[in-house]
Formats: sequence, structure tokens, C-alpha cells
Amino acid sequence: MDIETTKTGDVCVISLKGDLNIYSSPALCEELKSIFEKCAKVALDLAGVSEMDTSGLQCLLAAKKYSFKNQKAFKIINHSPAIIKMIDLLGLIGYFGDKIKIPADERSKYSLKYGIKKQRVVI
Amino acid sequence: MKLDAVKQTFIVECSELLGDMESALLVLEKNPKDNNSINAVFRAAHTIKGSSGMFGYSGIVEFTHVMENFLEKLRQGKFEVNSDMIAALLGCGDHLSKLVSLFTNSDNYKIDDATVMRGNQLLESLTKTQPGMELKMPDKKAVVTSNNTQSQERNGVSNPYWHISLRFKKDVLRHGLDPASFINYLAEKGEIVNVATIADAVPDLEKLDAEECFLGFEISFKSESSLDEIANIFEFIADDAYITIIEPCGEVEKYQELITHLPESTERMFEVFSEMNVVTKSELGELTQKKSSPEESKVVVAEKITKEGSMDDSHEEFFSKREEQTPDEKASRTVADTAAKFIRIEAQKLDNLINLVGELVINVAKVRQLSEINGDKEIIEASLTMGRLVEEVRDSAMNIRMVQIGESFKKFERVVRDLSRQMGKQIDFKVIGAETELDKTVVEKINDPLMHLIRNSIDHGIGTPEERQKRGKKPVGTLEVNAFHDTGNIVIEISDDGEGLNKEKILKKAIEAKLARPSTSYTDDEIFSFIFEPGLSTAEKITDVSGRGVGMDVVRRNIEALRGTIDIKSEAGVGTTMRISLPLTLAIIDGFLVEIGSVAYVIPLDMVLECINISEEDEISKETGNFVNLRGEVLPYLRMRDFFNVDLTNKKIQDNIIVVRYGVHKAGLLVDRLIGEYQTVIKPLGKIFENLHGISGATILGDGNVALILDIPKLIKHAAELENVDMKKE
Repeated sequence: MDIETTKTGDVCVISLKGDLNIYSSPALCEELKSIFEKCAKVALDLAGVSEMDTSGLQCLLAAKKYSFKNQKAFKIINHSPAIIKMIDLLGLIGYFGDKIKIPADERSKYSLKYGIKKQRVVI
Repeated sequence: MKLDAVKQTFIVECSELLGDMESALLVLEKNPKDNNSINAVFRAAHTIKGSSGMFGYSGIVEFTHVMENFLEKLRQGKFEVNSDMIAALLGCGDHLSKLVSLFTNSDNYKIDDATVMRGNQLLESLTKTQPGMELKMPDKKAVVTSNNTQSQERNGVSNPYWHISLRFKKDVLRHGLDPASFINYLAEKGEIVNVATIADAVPDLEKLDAEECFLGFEISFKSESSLDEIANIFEFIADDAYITIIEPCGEVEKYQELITHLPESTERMFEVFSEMNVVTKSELGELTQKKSSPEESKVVVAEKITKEGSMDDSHEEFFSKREEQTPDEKASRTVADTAAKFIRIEAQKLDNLINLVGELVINVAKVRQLSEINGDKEIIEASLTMGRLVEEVRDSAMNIRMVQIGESFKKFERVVRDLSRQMGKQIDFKVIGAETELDKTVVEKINDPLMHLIRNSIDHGIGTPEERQKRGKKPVGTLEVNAFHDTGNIVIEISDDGEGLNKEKILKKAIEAKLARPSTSYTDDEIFSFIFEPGLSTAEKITDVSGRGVGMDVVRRNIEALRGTIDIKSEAGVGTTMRISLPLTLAIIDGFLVEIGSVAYVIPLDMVLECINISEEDEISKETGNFVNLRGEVLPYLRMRDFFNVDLTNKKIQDNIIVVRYGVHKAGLLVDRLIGEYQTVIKPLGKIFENLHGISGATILGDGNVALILDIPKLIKHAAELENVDMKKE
């Protein structure tokens, strides 16, 4: 997986390319950690992610939690179909709360479950 | 921690017993008339019932009680073994192993309804194998079951979907399993109505190990599938996950239990379940109310720990609690996990190792001798170092086998405590000599007998405080276990200050059981020895603990299998002492080398008291006599030359007597020459020499010659017999 971080204005954009799985998610976690330290607004561009597993998802969840806890802005942008599929399956669309673009003719593929609202932010 | 150790022992023991039971059943299947196997099955069920009774695991006791009743009828020959019966009994065995594993990792032991039902079905199928045979099903269970049918009507939640709760072990990802893919698969098998991803346990980004899984899922699932089909979806991940599946409209209690066992707090799960519409607000109200039952305190404590402990703790604790939740998937694995903490090695392998080490010691001595002759300093030095190392190897090899007997006494403490409370008795339990070291295999094998004896002492020996006060004793009874070394033996004494054995009662029972004749008069020892006969019990009522009359014959058999002896001293109204004497059965002993004829023999040094010289007149004057005057004491002795039929020509008269002792008996052995102390590696004799009189083993000397090891206990017995013959002649 390739990780590339660019800075546009005050937003840091981390772009991923490849599979986000147990082999690559430790690297993503590291990157997120260091970028969060430097940057108040972080966007994760997942357009290039072809596959994601539980480990990858967990990394995204940890980042979301971190952003709530430390009052940082964290957004996922350009979800690839693999990402939408996973967070849809696990009812996490509501939790991430990001804008998701799905072409109208593909909408029937997803259940678009909102999941539960009260995801706990801080333990 | 202590209780853990006890539980471990219980579990290991039970799985061993269940293994025995299974193999006995298989033998029985081929040979339905094999009484030994019937007895073995019965004993296994009986012992499991007894041990479970001590721990208060009524589920197991109830189940085994029915089994035991059935087996007892079988043992009495009331009906014959058939294949249906074997199948049913094997099923019962498997069920028992499940029941045992259920409580492996949980302190509050509960059996869920499905398991109870399964147990009842098994018992029914067992009963059906004998038409006309009626077994009383456990009353309690009947009550529980009927309650459940009622509660199903009353307490079912309105949620029409399956509810699946998933939590994972941290290592699940490392094992190459992806939880999400299982949920994906689930979605293909039905409709996921709603899902809550529980990410509460995911640590901060800084601390997150991306290779560990901290997620959990609560899923509402719509499907026409059966429980089994849904469970099968998770089959591959079952080892790394904690899965609870509740059927549509399941009982409130099931949710209640689920909530109690989830690592998240109760409020949190209420929140989640109510938002998912798994349980409605009004049902939740009911749930909350129920929480304020006595169980509440337990839940609160559990929560506290979860909050205070670190993330890891709460996870581990949660897992351990969860073990009981999904018993079926886990049953066999849990037993295996527990057993994996110990390495159980076949004793034969250790014997082989020690044998080899022994030979190594001998050969190193040879090398050293040769190097000294050779005179090369470097070689001498090298061989000395090697010798030291080999000695260390020998010591550690020996050490593997030695354990402190106190380890196994530990579990008795708890047992005594629980049992005495249960029976309303006050007992002061004392252990003396817990640090006494003993061969591991011996310790393991002596455990059961000791347990039986302790149980007996509590059950029959020591009375209730009222009974004791009536007899003018202090209300608190004393039970003492004392272990010590005594001339190459280990002696374990179990003493109580209870009622003592009731001789009349034992004799009456023995006569009833046709073990004794009414006309004959018996000595105390003879009467006491009846209690070791199978099927004799003086207990008036059969309890969970003892009284079936199977205990003591097992005790004696186990002790005899270790070449040990058991003696009873008992005085009515004063107390009973059971004295078990066991050989140390070590593969390496300190020996005393002697010569008889021109052959070397070894006597275990522990048994040698002293060496004396007898004058020739003494010897000649009593040609046929077998006594010598040892400082005013009459000592029977054996002429070893005669004993081994050694040719006497060209040999001077023997004049060395070695005084040996075994237990309380003493005897002299007349030998030709004393050579001295010698460390001996015992080599067992082959099968052909099994019944060789007076020889217990062999060893190889440094020069390569073979020396035989004298079997002192047998020789002393022989000397005593000669003594008796002589006395009768006179």
C-alpha cells in the first residue's frame, strides 16, 4: 500500500493506494498519528483502496475516536466501493458521518444502514 | 489462585476419569460380561460425582447420580449390557465432559437450559435401553425445565429476529481470520436488519496495535435458518471468538445474561440494545428491575473491575467469563487449554532418560579412570569438568520427577473446608511435612486414595459439634495429614480425632456381604481390613460424598499398585489413623554393595541400620538357628548363601550381618563380604524375572558387571516366616 500525504491550505490529505489490511494498517496508524500531531484538519482519501479488512477498519475507527477526543477534524473522502461496502455492512456510516458519493444506479447494492447513533466517543 | 489450582486438578482428573470411562465402555462393547470394565465405568461416575459434590456443582452431581444409579443396577447384574446402552453411556460421558469444561473458567457455575435438556434426553435414552427400568430423574431439573417452559411464554422479548453477539480474542487477526468477512457471509445467508459495531474497546491511536482486534458486533439477523445453521457460519472463527446467538423472541433472561457477560457496562449495552430495538423500553424496564435482585452486587463488582483495570485486564476477564457462554463450541478446547499448562510426560520416557543418565555417570567414571592412567593433564581436566556437568544433568533429571507433596495437599484444604460446612461440622485441618519430596508419578497416583480417606474421615469419622460435645470432646475436630520419610519410604498418615471405626458394624456388614463367617473370631486388624473389600460400606445413608462402598477398595488397589501398604489404627471414641507407606521408587538410589558367594548384590542404603560381626561360635553353635543376639534383642537373620543356594566349598564362614529395617520390622542378612556404598541406577528386570524371589532389580557396576538389588521387604517377610516356623517347632 502506498501512503502519500499532501498539505492543501490547513488540511492534510493522506491518500492511500492499494489494500488496507493487517499488513498495511500498522503503517497507516503510524502515519495518522504523526499527521494528527502536526495538523488540526486531516482528510483521508480512500479512493485508491481496493480492499479493506477488519484491521484497516479498526484503524479508521481509532482515528475517528482520536479526532473526537482531541478536537481535531477528521474526514474520509472519496470512499472507494470497498470502503462503502464495509462501513455499510457494519452500520458505521452514521458514526463516521462523512459524505458518501454513490452513483444512483449502484445504490441498490447497499443497504445504507445508519447503524446506531450513540457510538461511544470516549471510554 | 489457590482455588484455581484446585480446579485445574479437578479438571485434569475428570478428563482422565472420563477417558478411562470411555475406554472401559469400549472394552465392554466387545466383551459385555467384563465386570472389571463395568466397575471402572461405575467408579469413574462415582468419583466425578464425589468431587463435583465437594465443589458444589450440583448440575454434575445430579447428572452423575442418575448415571450412577443405573450403573449400580448394571453392576449388580440386574440387566445385561447391550449396544444401545453403550452408545447412551458414551453420550453421557461426552455430556459430562462438557459439563466439566463448562465451569473451567468461571467462578459462578451455571448450566444453560439447552445443556440441561440435552442431559435429560441422554438420561432418558439411557433409561429406555432397559424396558421396565425406572430411574428417578433429578427433581430439581424437572422444576427448572417446567419453569422454563413457563418463562418462555411469559418472558420472551418481542424482537422477531435472531440476535447475534460477537466478541473476539485479540489474536483473531493474527490467526488470519477477518471478522468482517464472516459478517459479510452472514449477510449472504439472510438479512442483517441492524448491526452495531462496538468500538468501545479500541484503544487510542497512539496505543493501538493494528494487528489486534478490539471490535465487537451486535447483530439483528432475519433468517429462517436454524440455530445450528447460524452457528455453522461462525464455525471457523469459533475458537477465536465469543459468540452468543439468541433465537427470535428469546427470553429476557438470555439478554440479561448476555449483558452481564459482555465487557461493556450494563448501561452501555442497554443503550445499544434499545436503540437497535433488540429489546424494547418496557422489556428493558423489566430487565433493569431484575438487575436489582441479589445478583446486582456481582454485576456491579464486575463492572468496577472492568473500569479500574487496564484495557487488557478487562478484555481477559471478559473472555474468561465468556467461556461459559458458548459451552458447546468450546467444550473440548477448554479442557485442552487447561491441560496444556502442564506437560504430562509418560513416566516411561522419564525412566528412560534417567536410565541413560545413569549409564552416562558410570561411563564418565570410566573415562576419568582412563584419563588418569593416561596422565594427560588436559584430558584429566576435561573429564573432570564433564563429570561435574553429568552430575548436574543427573540431578536435574531426578528433579523433574520430584515434587513437594504439599502441592497435592493444597486441594484438600479447600475440600475439607467446603465439605465440613456442608455437613455442619467444624474441622481443623493440619498439614505436616508438606515439603516432603516425592516422585511425581507417585504423588499423582496417591492423590485419589488420600482424597477418599480424607472424605471418609470427614463423613464418617468426625462428628458434628453437638455429637462431639456429648462425648466430652472439644467441638472442633482435628484432621491431620502428616508426610515424612522413613527408611527409604514415604509415610503419609491421615489422622482424625473422631469416632473411630465401629468394629461391630463392620463385622456385621462383612458377614452380610459374606466376607466373614459369623462363627469365626477376628482380630482388630482383620476386622479393619474388611473395609477395603469392594461393596462394603457402613454408612447408613448414601450421600454425595461417600458411602457407596467403592472408595476403600480403590484406595487399597491404588496403594498396592505403588507397592505400598496401608495400615489402620483405630480406637473407638478416640480416633482413626490411616498410615500409608510407599516406596520412593526412585530410579537412582544409594546402595550398599555386598558380596554373596562371588556375586555382588546391592542393598538400598536407606534400609541398612548397621553392620555387625558375629563370632564363629555363635554361627557354628546354632547350625540351624536363625537368631542372633543383638545387644539383648532377638534378631532373626537369613543366611544369604543358603537363600541363593551358593556353593560353599573353599569359602570361609560368613561372619558379616547387615541389619536392615523395613517399617517396624528388622532382620539380619548374613553375607560374605562388605564392599561399601555405591550409587546405583536401578534397571528393571525383564518380564521373565518378574516373579523372582528376593530380587527387585539390577544395576550395572563401574566395571561392567551386573549386580542384583535385594528386595528387602520380601526378605524381611521371609525371615519373619522362618522365625514363626521356628517358634512353632519349639
